[in-house]
Amino acid sequence: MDILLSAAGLIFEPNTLLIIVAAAFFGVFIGSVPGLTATMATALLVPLTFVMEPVPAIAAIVVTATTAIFAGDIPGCLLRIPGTPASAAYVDEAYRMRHKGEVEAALGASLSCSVIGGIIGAAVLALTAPWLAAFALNFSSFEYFWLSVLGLSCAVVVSRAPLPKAFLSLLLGLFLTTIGIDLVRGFPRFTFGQPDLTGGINIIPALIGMFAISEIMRKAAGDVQGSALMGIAAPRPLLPAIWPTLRRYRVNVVRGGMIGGLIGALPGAGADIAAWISFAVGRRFSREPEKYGSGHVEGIVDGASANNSSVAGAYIPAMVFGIPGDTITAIVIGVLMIKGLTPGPMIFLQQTELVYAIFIVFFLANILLFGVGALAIRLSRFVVTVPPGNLYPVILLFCIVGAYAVNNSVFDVYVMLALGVIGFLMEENDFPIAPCILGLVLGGIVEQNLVASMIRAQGDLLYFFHRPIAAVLGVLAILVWTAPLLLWAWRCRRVQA
Amino acid sequence: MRFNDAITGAAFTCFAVLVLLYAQTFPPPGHQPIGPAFFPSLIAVLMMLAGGALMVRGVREYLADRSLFRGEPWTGSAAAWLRILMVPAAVLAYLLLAPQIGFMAAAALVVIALALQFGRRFLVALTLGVASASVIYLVFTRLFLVPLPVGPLEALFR
Repeated sequence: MDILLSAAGLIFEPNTLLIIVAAAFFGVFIGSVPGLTATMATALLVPLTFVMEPVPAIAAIVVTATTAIFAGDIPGCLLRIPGTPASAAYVDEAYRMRHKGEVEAALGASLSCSVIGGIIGAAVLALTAPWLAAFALNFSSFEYFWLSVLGLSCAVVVSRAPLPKAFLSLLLGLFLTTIGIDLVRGFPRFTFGQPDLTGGINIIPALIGMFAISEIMRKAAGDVQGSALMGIAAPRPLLPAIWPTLRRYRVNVVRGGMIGGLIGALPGAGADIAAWISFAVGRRFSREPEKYGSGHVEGIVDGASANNSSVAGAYIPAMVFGIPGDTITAIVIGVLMIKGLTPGPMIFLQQTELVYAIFIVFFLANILLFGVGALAIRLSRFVVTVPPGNLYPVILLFCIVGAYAVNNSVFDVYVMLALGVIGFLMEENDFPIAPCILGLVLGGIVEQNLVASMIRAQGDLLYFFHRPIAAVLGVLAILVWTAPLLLWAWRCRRVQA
Repeated sequence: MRFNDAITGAAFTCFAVLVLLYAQTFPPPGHQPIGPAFFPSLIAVLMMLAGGALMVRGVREYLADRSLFRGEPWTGSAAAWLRILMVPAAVLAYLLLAPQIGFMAAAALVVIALALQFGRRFLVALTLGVASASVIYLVFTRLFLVPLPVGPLEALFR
């Protein structure tokens, strides 16, 4: 209880609260601009977190992500352009409701379900993470090696891209982590005599490049003239539109929240996949599945509750094992490391206040979302029409300064530029970015634990299955690799039969 | 814009071969079970396998549609390509200009050029560039104590 109080004390102080409120507005703004994702909002926030204490820094990221994921529904409903990919699953439902003149019903359902789903996700996080952390205290390098391999494999398998492409993206990320001084003998690898490269590729400029620069390039390719808002009914009160929906679909909200929390915890699967799965499950168990696709509010309930819940779920593996559950937590791990905090079971013992403060921030963020979100729905008709031509040049400038400010290093800006161009080319060729980012974050952990395990096993590979939990994780990882092959063989046999 | 998978697969495979060859020049492990070359070599071998699998996909794709490149509505337009190239060019221009003329001038130039490229009118672009460059400069140097490149304009703010 003392810990909970002192954790609350870290948050309920004027500076932190001010940052939280500012982050809420920032998140809503970025989320409602079509094409700017929650991950990009987080990446843009990183340079600002350098001057903050760890708690306000993480709080700012949590609040920004929470509000941005909701706000992504706003342009989805008004323009049929999902503000973030997490809103794509149910964008048709929302847009069709807009055509029936039900903007408030659609966005009201989305807001209230986001809030409730987010709170369910926060509860899942607060209840499971400490328990898992106690369990993870006994883990050795063998368990960590298998766990990170399992996480990376999941990231490849859940990606909706072709398997070789997702795998190549992951391998590229892993390769980038081998640049610089090696762990075993201190030998500089792939540095070509460049002193700047001996420290390795910095994660934050790489992230800014791959997400923000590549996105600006993609936006530059398309038509950049502002889009028009036509035929939207005048604003109506929000609350009367919410209650009937919530009462009618209360089961969907809770189910979506649970699905989101679990999917979010899977490494590599973020809010977008959670929304797709919850939407599909909701349709499967709906009493009126035929209404899906015609502007049916139930689909919004399913998706909106799941995507906000997954934001919290992703923190479970990130905090307990240091394995990011999605791209946002990948950035969070980077920020924590800059602050000298290594995520893992030890922070649950040594930084208990920080851990509980993060839990509290999640509840606070979702409560705050209700007010800020309602305001955003009111103002949405202006925000979604900000001309992209005003926005992208300033965002580019912010990226340059942000990448530079990590270490005050000009070299980092070159890293951002190079990875931005690579990221653009990859996405244009249907290579997903998320596995590469996960590889970049986890490559060091994988190699470190592989080396430590190999030294302890003296090269005997069977030793990797020596400890019971390591054996289970190892078998699981091997199953994840072989599952596509087995499925393929099974399909071939079925076709022949 | 998408190249046939055989082309991207071959690009990754070539890259993997180079990595593998280069990794063989690393010092041997000595008395440890694995040395500095082990992890990069493992990645390179897996990359060659995945690149190979992608090339097979690409060849199948080619046999089906006989095309090596699939365009989008914008790939035929030179203006669109120019807009795309402007983004990395703007970053490069900033990197080359900032040490000479200082942060604010370089940043404002980059924002103005991009905003014009994105179809904004000159006065809008000018306001945007001057405003964003000075606000970001003041916030980052005063509030966050980040040493941004100093030129004649910055000297005025001392």
